[in-house]
Amino acid sequence: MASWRARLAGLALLGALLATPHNKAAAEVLVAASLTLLTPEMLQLAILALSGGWPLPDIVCLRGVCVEHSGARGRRYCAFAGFRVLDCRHGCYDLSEKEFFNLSTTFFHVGFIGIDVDYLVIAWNQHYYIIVKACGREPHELGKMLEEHLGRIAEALSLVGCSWERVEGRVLKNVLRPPYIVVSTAGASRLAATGVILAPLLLRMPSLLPLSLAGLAAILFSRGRRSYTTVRGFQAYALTSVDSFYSLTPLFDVLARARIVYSSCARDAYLAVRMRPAAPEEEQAVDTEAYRSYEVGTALEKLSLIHRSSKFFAAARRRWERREALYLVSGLLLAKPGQQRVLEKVGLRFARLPGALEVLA
Amino acid sequence: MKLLERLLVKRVYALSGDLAVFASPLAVVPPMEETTGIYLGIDDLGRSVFLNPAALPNMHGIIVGTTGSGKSTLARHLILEVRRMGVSSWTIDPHSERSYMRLFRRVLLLGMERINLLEIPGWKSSEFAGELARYIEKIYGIAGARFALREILLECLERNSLSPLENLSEVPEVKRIYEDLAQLHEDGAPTISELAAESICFTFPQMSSREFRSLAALALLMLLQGYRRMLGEVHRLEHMVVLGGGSLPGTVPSASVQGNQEVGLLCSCRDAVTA
Repeated sequence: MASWRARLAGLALLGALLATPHNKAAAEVLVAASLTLLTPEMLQLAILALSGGWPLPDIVCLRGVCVEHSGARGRRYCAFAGFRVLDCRHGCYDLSEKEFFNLSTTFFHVGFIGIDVDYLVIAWNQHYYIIVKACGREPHELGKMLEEHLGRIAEALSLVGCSWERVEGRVLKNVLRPPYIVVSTAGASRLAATGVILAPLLLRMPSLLPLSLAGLAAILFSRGRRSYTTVRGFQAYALTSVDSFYSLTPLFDVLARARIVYSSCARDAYLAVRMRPAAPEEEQAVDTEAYRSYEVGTALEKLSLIHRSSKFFAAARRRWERREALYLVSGLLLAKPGQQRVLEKVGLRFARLPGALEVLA
Repeated sequence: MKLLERLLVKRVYALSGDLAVFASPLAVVPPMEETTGIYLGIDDLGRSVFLNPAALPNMHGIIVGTTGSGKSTLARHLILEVRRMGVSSWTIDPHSERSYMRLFRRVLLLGMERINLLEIPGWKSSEFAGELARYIEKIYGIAGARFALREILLECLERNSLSPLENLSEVPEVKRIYEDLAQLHEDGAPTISELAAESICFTFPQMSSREFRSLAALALLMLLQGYRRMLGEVHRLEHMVVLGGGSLPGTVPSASVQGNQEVGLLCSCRDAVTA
């Protein structure tokens, strides 16, 4: 599936081709933009170099809600509110594979249906938090939105037999800015990084222009934010793939993997998963990708494409046969390297990416 | 700005079955743990573990484990913990373990020291006689003698003396029962109301029979049950009884204390069969 970034980069390249005879400078900028879009890691590295850590917005917490302090006045607010799950009548330790699968999927299908909000699920020291992030221009509307979505989550928790409590503001802040990340104090290197990044722009070096573009974007992105790095001994990993998505896994395998996660969450790892339900066209894209790669793969006799299609067919079958809902997920794992490897074995692929902490923004 | 944010966050596809593995509360939240009550210690994750008697459906419990696994240690810990909460406790220990005795100021060596068995607050005489006869029948293995025993015991209760049993002691089975009851009962000995107010360790002489130990344990439990019933039931731990392994026959101890929610009955058994 070609991502929106790839499409945008393609358009920029096309624009560059068309602009070259008329305006060379514009063409150079378009090529640079296209390269920047294709390699977001470059932008992430630029942000990291300029900020000395990953910039996260400050949050101000009231009684049961936290508000992102963006610095921009009167424009857009983002608010967080959530629950802590106190206990559940059953869990992966005593449920049968069918019961576990049915209850868990019911929980997601009933509770996580808002397409206008982001859901943050945080598992930390066997504590489980569900936080809803809603953004908008009107604070009153935000409040209504949060209550509506929290109500649905409460309903889902009741259905699966879990009790919960509303998370207080100070706890929420502690969960969203856990003690495993600290404010970065790197200062001198930032100045040097700014110089390196802006030099190609000032010296008109077209081949290094993407670097400058990334730097400018990084400056724009980091504005008014505080930079965070992980504490010693812990690493920040970003979720890069959920391998099991591409296979029609039997239910006993789902339960077995859940039990591994259950035992690994007992240790002091911090796992944050940000998710939102996929839009209908994104759901459709899974089926389309399966058909398309099969057609192209068989036409060109490309085994890799045929194999890719079989992976997407498996996902499509799960969607249609098991009625599983599709979500777009990003994840952050703050843990020691050993724990990351355990999660990799259960199909959650994590990598050390500079922008891993963005999940908490 | 939003475009930048979207560029920076890597989102991957996941179906709800994939999320069930790592993002479902059922895969993360451990079973409910008590946070108040009797402190038991810490688990392997360093969390405090409590036993809350008020949260139990009834206050009877059993500690099972292999030899040396710490059953008696846990029982002793519970005695000390409930004492800290102001709750009195009894230990009925057939093995006369010194580790139990050391915890109590008062140790009653049943067989050498006696209690008043025939003062039975909270019981009707006929009811008590019937219950005791039922247990005696099972403990001594004299099938079919329940109703005759009931009548004799009823007469003993009415006369406040064991003389009706003594009169029938030419019958060998009755003689055994009489001798055991006579070792246990004495007029003027402490009554259940005096005993229940204290923390006591009940032990037995080395050479006492298994039947005698069972009879004494059951008689004590029955007296305590009646006494607590007379005081009125509350769902609160007011007295804890620890029964050492081997104090009971394979029959019924729990039946004798059913309904007495305020008496925590704890069996520390050498093996699960005796429970």
